[in-house]
Amino acid sequence: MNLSLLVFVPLATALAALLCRGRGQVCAISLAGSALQLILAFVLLAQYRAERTMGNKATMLFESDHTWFASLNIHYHIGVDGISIAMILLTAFVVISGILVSWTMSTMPKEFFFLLLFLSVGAYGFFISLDLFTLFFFLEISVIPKFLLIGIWGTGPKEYSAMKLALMLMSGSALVFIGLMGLYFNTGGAGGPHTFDLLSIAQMNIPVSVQKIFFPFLFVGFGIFGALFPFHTWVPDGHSSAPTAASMFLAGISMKLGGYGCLRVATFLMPVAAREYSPYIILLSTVAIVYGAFATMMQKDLKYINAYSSVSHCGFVLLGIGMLTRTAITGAVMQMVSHGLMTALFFAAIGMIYDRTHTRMVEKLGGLLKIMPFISTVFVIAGLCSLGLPGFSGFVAEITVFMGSWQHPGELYRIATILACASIVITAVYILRAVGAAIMGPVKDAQYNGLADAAWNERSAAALLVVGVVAIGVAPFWLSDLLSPGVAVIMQQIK
Amino acid sequence: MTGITTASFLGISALTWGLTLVFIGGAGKSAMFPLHIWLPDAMEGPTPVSALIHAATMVVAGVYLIARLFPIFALSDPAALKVVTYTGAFSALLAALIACTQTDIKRVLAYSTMSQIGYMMFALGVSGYGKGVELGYTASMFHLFTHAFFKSLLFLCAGAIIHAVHSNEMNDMGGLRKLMPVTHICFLIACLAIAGIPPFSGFFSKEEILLAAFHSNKGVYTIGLLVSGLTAFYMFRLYFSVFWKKNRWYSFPPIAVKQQHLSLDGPITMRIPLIILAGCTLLAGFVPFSTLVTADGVVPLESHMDILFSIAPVTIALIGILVAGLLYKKENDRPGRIASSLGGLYRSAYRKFYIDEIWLFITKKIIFNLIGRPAAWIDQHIVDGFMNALASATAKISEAIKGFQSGKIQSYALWFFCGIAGLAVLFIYLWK
Repeated sequence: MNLSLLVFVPLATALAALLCRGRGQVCAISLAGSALQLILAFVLLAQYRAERTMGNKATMLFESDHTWFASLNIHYHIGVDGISIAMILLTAFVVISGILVSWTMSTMPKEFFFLLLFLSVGAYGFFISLDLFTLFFFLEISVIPKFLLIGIWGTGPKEYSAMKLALMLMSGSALVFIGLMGLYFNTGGAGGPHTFDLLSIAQMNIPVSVQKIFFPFLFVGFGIFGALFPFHTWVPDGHSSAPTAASMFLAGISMKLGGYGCLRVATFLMPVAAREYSPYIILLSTVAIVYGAFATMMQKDLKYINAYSSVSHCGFVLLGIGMLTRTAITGAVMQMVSHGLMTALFFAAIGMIYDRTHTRMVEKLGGLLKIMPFISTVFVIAGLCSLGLPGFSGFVAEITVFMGSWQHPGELYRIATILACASIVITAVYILRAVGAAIMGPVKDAQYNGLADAAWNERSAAALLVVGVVAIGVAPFWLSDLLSPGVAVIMQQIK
Repeated sequence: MTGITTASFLGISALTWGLTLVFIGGAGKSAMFPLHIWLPDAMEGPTPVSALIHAATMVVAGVYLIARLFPIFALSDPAALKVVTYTGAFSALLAALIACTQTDIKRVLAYSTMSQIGYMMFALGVSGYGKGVELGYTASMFHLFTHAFFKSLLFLCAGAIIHAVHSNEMNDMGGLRKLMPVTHICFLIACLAIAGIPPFSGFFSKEEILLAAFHSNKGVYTIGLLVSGLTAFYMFRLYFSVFWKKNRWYSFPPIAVKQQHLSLDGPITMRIPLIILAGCTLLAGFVPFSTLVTADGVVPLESHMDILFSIAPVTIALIGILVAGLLYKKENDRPGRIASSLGGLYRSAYRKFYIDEIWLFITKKIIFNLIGRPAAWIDQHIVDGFMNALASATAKISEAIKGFQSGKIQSYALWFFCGIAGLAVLFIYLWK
């Protein structure tokens, strides 16, 4: 399959949305485009599996390589392995649900859908890039739409949050850029041309001293995207000000760019430094997990609850990567997919509740299950997935990370694992408290009584995400089998 | 099995840590002290759920877990088994004491469940692995088996009673034996079983447990004996208060009851399960359990019923029943007088020894106020505050220096001139 389709289909949809007249047309075009993305993602999955069963052992499949700026040796080089396909599937699921949830968007719908789709262009491009420059290019593309989405369609202190998010993510990409430059100018050792090519750099053995200097730049840079402590503070403000679909995209896709970058670029290309810095990564991610969970417990706004819990849950991604064992890294990628689906579902449910009650404060809600059973059920499912109930993806991903983490001997790693496991209890506390106060119990406010339950678009969005969450939860092996060759390549590099 | 690992932490081997942690997990599921406070509160749920989950199946998952891992416990780590024994025995005693003071019918049953699970736990704890010492294991599993019947019977009876009376409080009940004949008989059977009166099923399993304890740990045996007296007492306290005591006619005048054969027993769908479970409670003791389940899988286990040994427990149980009958069969002020003469002990047992309050203190005061709130505050004011400070510092600096790029040619020219003049002075006077 021609991978460029994954970039051009959303791009074409975005442009087509701009040309439309009226909200109806925009929505129809966007939905068609995102459905096509989903189909493409599944076709890609099927073809990938067919190739692998036929015995194709190449690291990356469906590669294509075009020179972009010959003088700097910049290529448009794309290709996928199982890890990228998992992320592409995640993106396709979140995009279509995000489009469905925003069906009734009436303020500047054209621009809104254009930006959403443009954001997905960045995400797809990022996940298929094998050239570091292309990768960086797509990373940047995905930042600006977020700024506009929050700044224009947001709620609360939206300008502040938009600015904060954009500035912090931009600093992240600045750090990434420094790291990439560091890598680029240290390639081609004996006078050969410098290269941005991911696979060739991986073959090259970057000198250890260089790795030690540039690894922190790349890891922290991508880490900012993935809510690395203490650079996570854009997450709560950004998410809670963003409109529903943008929250879903942010938490479901954007934060995964960070985790993917940490794994694919920082760890894969500079394995020695990754080992060297692994205690620090573990330390920061454990702090994010535990402290994020405690901070979540005290939040009163549903979106803040989910945003802080995302800090905690994305900590598992970085923890898994930092552990550098095969199981842990597999777990980290699974957690990315799982958290992406689960948190998008959560934000979708919160958005639906907010659209109806016009509040997100837990103490003002109550008894929603009686008024809007569907939405409340979705909320509860997302909550149960978040607290790691078996049968949902959260359980599979977290248990894999824990198993992998425990494989790492060494006291710091063990303590980190124990603390991370214990944080699950705190997750249960805040999720069950929120469910108990907002969903169960008597109806708090009489004016909520006549509110309608989810409409068809919201139902289908939620159903798609629930299917994803449950599919991973009950049949995790299709995912781990998908990831396994890709993780094996990374492990080879680390050894 | 021994010597699996030599790793240790704080002077205790990793295996002991592991097994103790597994036990703590099991203790949480099986409502062992101090992780038991959830069980009585879970009784808010519908009664059939209590019968199924909180009496028969889920709550014994912890016991089952220890039993499954028993070879590891028994062969490689006696220290962890000690923890199991004493936690079990202590929980049995504590729960029995609390049960004697509670007035909510389902809470009494909940604490009784906890107490009976304590029996199962310490039976596992006093057991060994291999010929001659493994009676405790079989006894524990046997008690788990018989307990499931009589405890779910008790819960379903309680459900029928609550259904009829519309209250959970023992004080709102009394004299129900004529109004609810089926429930009455079933409840009595279950009470006799749990009190360990032969030939009801609880007798057989409890005897085995006590026998196992007697041969391995006299202290635990004494606790077990004491608890069996307490069990008989609080169960019959419940029985007499509900079915005897004062005669109340509730909303039905006695004539109406007689004429219309009005019975407060539930409909047939509620009575049949009671009868089935009562049958099981009668028969379960005769299941030859030692030919089915043993610690090492070698069956049958050689076990002998010792008539002489049974005298003590049965006598103690009978004393318990007698005392309960004296105090609660007829309306009188003796229970109240005894309660007030016991003073602090009664009050603290009634308040469940303040364990709920301790947990509430730990969660509310320590976890929420000392950890949660500071974490949220630090995040907002220090971590995020630093980011905001960075941003506002950047803004301030640029505010301060933006005058340099004013766009006014005159001021550029002035600065240019000043610069030249400065350099000229530098060249003339300093550069010699």
